[in-house]
Amino acid sequence: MLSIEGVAVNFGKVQALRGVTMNVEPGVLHGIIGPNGAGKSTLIDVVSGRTAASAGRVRFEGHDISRRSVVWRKRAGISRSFQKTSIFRNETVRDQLELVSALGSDAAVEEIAEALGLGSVMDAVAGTIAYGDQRRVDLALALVGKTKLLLLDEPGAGLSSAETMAMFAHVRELTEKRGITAVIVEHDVDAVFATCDRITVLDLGSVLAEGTPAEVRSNDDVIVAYLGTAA
Amino acid sequence: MTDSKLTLPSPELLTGGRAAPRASPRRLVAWYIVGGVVAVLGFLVPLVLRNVHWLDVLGQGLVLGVAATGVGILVRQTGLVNFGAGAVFGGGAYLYAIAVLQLQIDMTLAFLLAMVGITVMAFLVGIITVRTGHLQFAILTIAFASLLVQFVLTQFARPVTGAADGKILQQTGTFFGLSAKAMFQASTFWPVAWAAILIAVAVAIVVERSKLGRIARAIQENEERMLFAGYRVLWPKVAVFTIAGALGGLAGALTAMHYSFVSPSLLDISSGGSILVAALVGGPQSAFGPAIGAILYAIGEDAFGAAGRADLLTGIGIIAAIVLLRRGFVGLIEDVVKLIRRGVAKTRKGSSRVEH
Amino acid sequence: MIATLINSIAFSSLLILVVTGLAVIYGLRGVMNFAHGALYMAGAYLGYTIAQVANFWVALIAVPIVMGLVGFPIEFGVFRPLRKLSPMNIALLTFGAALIISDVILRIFGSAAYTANLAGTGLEGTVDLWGQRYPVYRLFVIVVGIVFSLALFLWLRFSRSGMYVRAVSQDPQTSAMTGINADRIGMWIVCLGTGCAGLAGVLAAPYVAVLPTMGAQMATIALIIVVLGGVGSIGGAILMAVIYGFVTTFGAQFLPEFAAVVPFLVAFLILVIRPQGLGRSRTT
Repeated sequence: MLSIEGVAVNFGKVQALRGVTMNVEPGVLHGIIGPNGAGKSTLIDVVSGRTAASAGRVRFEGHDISRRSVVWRKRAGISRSFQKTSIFRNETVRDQLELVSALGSDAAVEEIAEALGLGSVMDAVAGTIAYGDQRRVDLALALVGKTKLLLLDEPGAGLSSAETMAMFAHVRELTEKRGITAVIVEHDVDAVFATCDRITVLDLGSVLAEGTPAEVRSNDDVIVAYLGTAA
Repeated sequence: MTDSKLTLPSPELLTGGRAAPRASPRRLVAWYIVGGVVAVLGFLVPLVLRNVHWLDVLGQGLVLGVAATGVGILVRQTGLVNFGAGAVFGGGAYLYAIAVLQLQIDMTLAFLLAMVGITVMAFLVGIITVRTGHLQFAILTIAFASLLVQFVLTQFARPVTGAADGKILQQTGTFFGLSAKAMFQASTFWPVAWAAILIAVAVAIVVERSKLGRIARAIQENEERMLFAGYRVLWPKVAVFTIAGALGGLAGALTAMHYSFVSPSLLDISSGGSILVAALVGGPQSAFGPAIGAILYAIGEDAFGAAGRADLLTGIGIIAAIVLLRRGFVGLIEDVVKLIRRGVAKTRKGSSRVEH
Repeated sequence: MIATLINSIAFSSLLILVVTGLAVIYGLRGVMNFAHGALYMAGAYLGYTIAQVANFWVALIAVPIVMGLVGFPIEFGVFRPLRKLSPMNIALLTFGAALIISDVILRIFGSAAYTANLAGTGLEGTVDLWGQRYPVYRLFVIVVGIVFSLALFLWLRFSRSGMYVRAVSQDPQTSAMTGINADRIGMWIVCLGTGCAGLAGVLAAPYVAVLPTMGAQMATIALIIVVLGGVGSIGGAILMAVIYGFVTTFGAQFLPEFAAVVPFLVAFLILVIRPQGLGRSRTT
């Protein structure tokens, strides 16, 4: 479904990504982990179109989308959430979900909101609800509208481990139900190992390892670079 | 209307993405009836107000209000502040003048041509300028207005624009039945000005409640999210800018018709400043705020302008609007009404209140 | 041709002085001072007055100092208390202030054009260069411009406060974390900015027409230059100031009809192609 081929990103002299190659199969929940500065968010930025790659290609459903605009990618079915919560603080939850879904003419706003536990805050103004709820609104904004590929940038940012685990469970449920493929960048390693089908480990802009959670957990390089002894 | 705190009229606060809480149907109907009555009665003002001078001042205030409403719409929906509104105002006036003098057509047709022309110009300028940040936009509007002023002043343009001297217009035919002479007279100009302000306020209301308005305000609140939601963020802003420009051009064309005269002072920063201050002082968060601000400004300018000190009024007005009148004059009235209501509610409760 | 070149460098020198002030104030305080042109104008009128009363050299020293001191009330009376206002609101405020200042100056001095007197200063008259005569004063302005630009460059490049100014202009958020006393430097920078505007004004007094409209004119040009150079980039602003000076002066020479239109048109066209300006803009 998604194929990243040799993508490199340079910000001036800083190499955020060096020749990253990875594949995401349809319907899979693919996690990306790595230490700070590994380039995880940059990868999401490249796939979603926010940042242009200095080298390499991104293919979506077989087509090269490297030069496509953000708007084009969204309309093709690529959606993303943000590490730094990006919602409409002055609108009610319901209004903003409807606004964003309007383009995809997806009537599943209620369903998605319920599944994410937002039912009780639907008519509250987004700026007034709890941070955890706001994160879930950010996630919901990515889900409404016809999404085929969901890119989540640290959905658990600022949330407790339990909340993050719960959010991952929601994502798992929703993606299975609606046949969405998801790529999740996350810091909370436990949640990723518990929920994802495949994991890619990034370190300093390159792929360190890739495989099933079990494979990655037992990979020596990963243990040395990142997980420490308590893997 | 929306926020309960007294907040400063920064662009992001002037609108928020939030639509007004839906007023109860009864309230809404009441407002519409009141509005309708005011609209109709407005036409009859010249019958009551006989003082020609004041009729003239207020009439000009209405025309200024049309342009100010345009600026107000732009600020409210997109957060962009047009410092160079003189460009569309004077632009509409000059396009009308060109149509009358060069094409030698009658008033109504010239007016229509001017409107089409200024709308196209606003569209083109909009595409270029709304792509930038708020600050760059403000500076670009100043640059464009200055560009037009300098161009009009050149010897090259003199035959058409009259350069610094301006151009006197020999208008022929009628404007919807009114001759140039009738357009000059305050009492017969008034219905035209009143109709124009009604149109402007109606446009403001329509844009506010429309999908365009909702999308534009959402873009103002979080452009990145809208982009990633698949909205093309440029066009709503361009559309709003074009509408605002058309209103500015309307005001300019009416001004040219009224005075049978155009000059570069219609285009310059002072002119744009007075339009802007009218919008800010009145309060752009409501549809009729800028109109009220414009009338207030016109009254003030009557005193200051005579002494050639219109800029002083504009400057003081802007500073007052930013520092004191936070949500504009309309906001002030709303706050006063709220305070009165609260006071009334408190005295009602007071008698049955239990002290702790 | 050489005369035009000298004129354009002189004009660019003035622009560099004005634009530097505007760019550093924006860089440090996040305020786009629409009244910067009015400060320049105040410097010019003040310079003219002092030159009339005493002599031009006194004006040249006094005006930048006086205008620099004006930075204090501006910093403490306007920028600090009103820090909560959005940048747009502050910009509007300065815009309003500029209108008021130009009215006040019109009131005090009237609408006649003045030119400061250079008699007895040693700067009047012309000098022989390459077989032609050039006004000494223009050359003097160029010298001041070069000295200033050099000093500015050295300060920005090599001094601690200078590096800080550059950092904050480019990326205010990250720089805020470095712990230098932002407010104190901000205060000095505002004074530097107003002082530069004043210096530009007094330098201009002997060779342009000192009019109540010069403030708005210079403000417009300075703002456009800053946008062209990339908002937040001091180097970009200075570069564009030089280019703008050249385009305007040479434009006036070869297309006298459109002297005033050409720079605006070119600026507009550049911004069509690259709305963020030509320099490196801020990251936030």
